[in-house]
Amino acid sequence: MTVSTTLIPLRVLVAEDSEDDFEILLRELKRGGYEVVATRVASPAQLDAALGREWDLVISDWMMPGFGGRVVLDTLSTRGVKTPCIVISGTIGEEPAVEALKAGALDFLSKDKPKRFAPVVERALREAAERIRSEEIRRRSIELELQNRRIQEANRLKSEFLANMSHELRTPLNAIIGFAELLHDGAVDPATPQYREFLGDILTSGKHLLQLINDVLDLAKVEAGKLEFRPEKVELGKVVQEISAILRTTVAAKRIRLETDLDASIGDVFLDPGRLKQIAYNYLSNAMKFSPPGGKVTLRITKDGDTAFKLEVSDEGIGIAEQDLGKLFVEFQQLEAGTAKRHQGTGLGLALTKRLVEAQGGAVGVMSKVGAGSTFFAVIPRRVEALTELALPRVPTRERVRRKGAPAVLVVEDDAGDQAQLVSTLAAAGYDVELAGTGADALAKWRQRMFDAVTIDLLLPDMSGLDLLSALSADPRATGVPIIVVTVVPDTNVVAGFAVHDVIHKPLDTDSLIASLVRAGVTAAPRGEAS
Amino acid sequence: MSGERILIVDDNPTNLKLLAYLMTQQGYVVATALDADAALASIERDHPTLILMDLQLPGVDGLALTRQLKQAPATRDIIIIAVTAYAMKGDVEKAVAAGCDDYVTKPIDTRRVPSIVARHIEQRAARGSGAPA
Repeated sequence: MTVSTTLIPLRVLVAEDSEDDFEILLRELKRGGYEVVATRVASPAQLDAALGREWDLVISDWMMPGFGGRVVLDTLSTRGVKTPCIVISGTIGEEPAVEALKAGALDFLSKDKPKRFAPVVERALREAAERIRSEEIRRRSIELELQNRRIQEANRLKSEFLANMSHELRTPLNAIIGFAELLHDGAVDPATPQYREFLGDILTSGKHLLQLINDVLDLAKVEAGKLEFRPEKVELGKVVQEISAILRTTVAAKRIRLETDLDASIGDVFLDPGRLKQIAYNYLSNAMKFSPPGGKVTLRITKDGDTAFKLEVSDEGIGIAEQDLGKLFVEFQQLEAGTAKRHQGTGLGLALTKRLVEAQGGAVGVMSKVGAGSTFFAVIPRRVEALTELALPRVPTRERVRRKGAPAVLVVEDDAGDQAQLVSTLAAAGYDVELAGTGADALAKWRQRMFDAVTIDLLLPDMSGLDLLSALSADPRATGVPIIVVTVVPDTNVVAGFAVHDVIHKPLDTDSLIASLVRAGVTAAPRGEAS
Repeated sequence: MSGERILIVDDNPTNLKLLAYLMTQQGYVVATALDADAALASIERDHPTLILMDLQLPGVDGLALTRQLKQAPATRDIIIIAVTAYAMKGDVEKAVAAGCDDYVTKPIDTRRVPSIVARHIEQRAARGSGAPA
């Protein structure tokens, strides 16, 4: 007759100097239904070695020459081993029992009652499992509590952000609506200089509002991990040149001495040039804002170890008090001290810069002293990985065929106002512009001659801009011709999958259109300059 | 009532200009201040009948300034209308608690603000006509 019982596997480490006692213990455990894998240790060194492996249970003799239950329990505790431990002894006194339990033993066994071994082990294992379970529950409830606090804090920050956002949006809107109402109601005589001045105020406030919205959208995108980074091989020298060019007007207006200092040994870096420019631009325009007229602003790019580089912008401005340094990279925390508040800004530039840098695996920082100027810096890895699959596919660079005359740009746009703006901007910059008002018109003109670049509005009267994009992409003559989408559609992802060089949002910033063409390698000599 | 003195306090120069133009057009004598210190100096100099007060100011904010003015015997008669871009729940209560007599949210309605200002000044004049100055 065979009794079929399922044996419970048990890995047990036994600290015992007597081979006989060890055998008895194993026999009793097997009899109690355990399938035992056991190792006997009789010295601290052996114990130490054995604890490298996983055990379900430790059973230790209390009294051994040069060793003992106390040592075993202390070793378990100092090594942070959570395995349950039972102490076994020939002479069971009350005092050692209490000492063992205090030192962490789960139970105490007497060698003269071998029949009790298995039941005590069973109870000890059950207790140990329960202990682990309740510890797990405690740990989880602490985790939940922490998580809950984090959510509450995030929620509070969101509400605060919304309140600030509402405030920041209403401020320029107050000027836009207020002045527009005055002008519209005929409350201002068009013949007075005030009329023009108020129009200027509306325009400036409108631009400020747009900047605010763009910054907020970027901020939201970085937060959601959805900001596009399109890493490519970048020549830092070229980036520095382009940023200097963008800032030329501000530099001239405030007579800023802009100095650039590029460590040539950095070599090429691999990152999104647009984002790098955004970072440098934010720092530089801040530095200029807080510089006195005629002040010096320095853009310095140096090596930072072998894998990173450091972009630094220093100014000779008013400086920042130490207690305010922490607020700098936080949304809407424009410093209120003294004149700082009078410097218009969205209060988002530095917060955005910080996130842009961090999203690329870098870090930002600032050094400043009141009255002695500030230095803002960003340490950025030389190689930034593409962080999103939403990135637009890059148009492969083609060998540009040098043609005589100005580069030809086909402008596909149906809105009369935007047509005028695009045509005059591009023509003034020296491009040869051809205008198409509909998709069909665009395709007809496209077939007639070669173009160096195309700008497309996504909303056309006769066909979808996306259909036009597909039609152009299908034409082998379009290979390598940069296509720039100029659109009011805020979501760049709509053109994902199309070979689009760039997406520019309306209202159109003419500088960024030209900059985009230049990035695509389609450069022209401005009107009036010798070509 | 034209000829009354109005002080406009706002840290944003463009918005200050808008309100100043609007009030000047109504025939008021307008003073402006970009912060609490300038406002206090102006009030000291020529006690205004009414203040259009932006609540977010650098340093001492508009709420604190309002409380200060409403507590001082010399200035508690000045009508204070909060003009603020804070438009969330609880903001009106805060303004009223600080002692503001009325509350206008930015963007302001340029057609309504003059009538609100006029109403407060008329009410004050009607109430104050029997009492000694």
